[in-house]
Amino acid sequence: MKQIKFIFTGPPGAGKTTAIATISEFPPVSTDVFSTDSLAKVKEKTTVAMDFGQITLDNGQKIGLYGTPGQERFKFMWDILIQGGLGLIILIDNRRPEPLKDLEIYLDNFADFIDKTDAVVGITCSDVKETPTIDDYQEILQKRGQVFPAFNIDARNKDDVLLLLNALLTCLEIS
Amino acid sequence: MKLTKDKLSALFGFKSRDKTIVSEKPPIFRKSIDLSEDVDSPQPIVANLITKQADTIYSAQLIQDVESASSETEVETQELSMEHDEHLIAANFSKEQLAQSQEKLAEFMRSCPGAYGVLISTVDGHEIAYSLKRDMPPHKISTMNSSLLALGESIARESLQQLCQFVILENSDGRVVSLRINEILMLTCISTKNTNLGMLLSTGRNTADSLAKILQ
Repeated sequence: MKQIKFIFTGPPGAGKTTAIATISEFPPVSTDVFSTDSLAKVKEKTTVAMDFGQITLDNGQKIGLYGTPGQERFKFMWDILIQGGLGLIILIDNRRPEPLKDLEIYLDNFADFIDKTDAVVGITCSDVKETPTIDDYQEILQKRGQVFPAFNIDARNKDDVLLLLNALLTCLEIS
Repeated sequence: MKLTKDKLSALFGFKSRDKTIVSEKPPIFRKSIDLSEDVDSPQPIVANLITKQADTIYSAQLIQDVESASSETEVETQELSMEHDEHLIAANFSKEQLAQSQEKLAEFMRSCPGAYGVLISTVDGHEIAYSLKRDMPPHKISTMNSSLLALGESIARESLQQLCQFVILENSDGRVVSLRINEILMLTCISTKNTNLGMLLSTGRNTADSLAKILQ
């Protein structure tokens, strides 16, 4: 049985590396290095190439979990990592100044990929900053004509991350 | 359509290996999944290489003038909101340090006849200083080589090997060698095949060691 490939993307600090580490069956491969720009105020390390983990479903289906770097300057890695991918998980950090704009940026950048596959949105840190709400995110998605599930999640919580995978698998099944 | 966690848990679901999500229904793929089907994605187009006099430029003087080399089909994005402040917190060096570093880069270029580029950058992809004899986008080279070096170091770890000393790209008409200077800085050396690999590695290592002392 071939491995399915899901890609986690989103702004720096949204929880991509954490989400993959939370559900991966083995310690994920990471390419984290020290942050040297203003991101260092938020987090000590940042992903510069990719994260890789894996989870196996009960039917034996293996899902490869690939995380992208968040920064736009690593866009070349986004283009590499989506190759052969089956779905996109967009994580958005609700604490950032303009999280709705963040979402649109990733929807734009991965538009071709999403058209061919599917996506799900996970909003992190909504317990720290309550707005925008899920409804606000859904409004953006609806305006764009992109109907994707969106959830408030904690990237450290296994159930929450599995919920995203679950939703994405479901969308793929019914699409 | 708005899906709530409860609804999804009730309606769908797959069982994780540790049963943290409880559902009797395993996922069913109604459409076949062709994993060999690559999603078409634009690849970065490398700028044309044009021989010219060596540039010696500090990162502070850089102008984003090479974006035209990016993919034809890529969607215009609002880069600033996704990028963090270019002001380097951990790699904030004095003019004197940068001048000494630039001299070391010039020495490297003189020592390696085939070398046509050498760059100091941070391990997260910001260029610090460079010397180039050809028209190449230093910020792209810095960013891509930071990814490459990080991957090389990860592959070394996964292969149960110790310190990754060099990541070497051996190409038909030249080589690109990346190596660490210290915890936050790296060096990228680019040459034709007029310099043999041993000399490139050795000179690169010596330059990186010298830079490590200067850029402490």
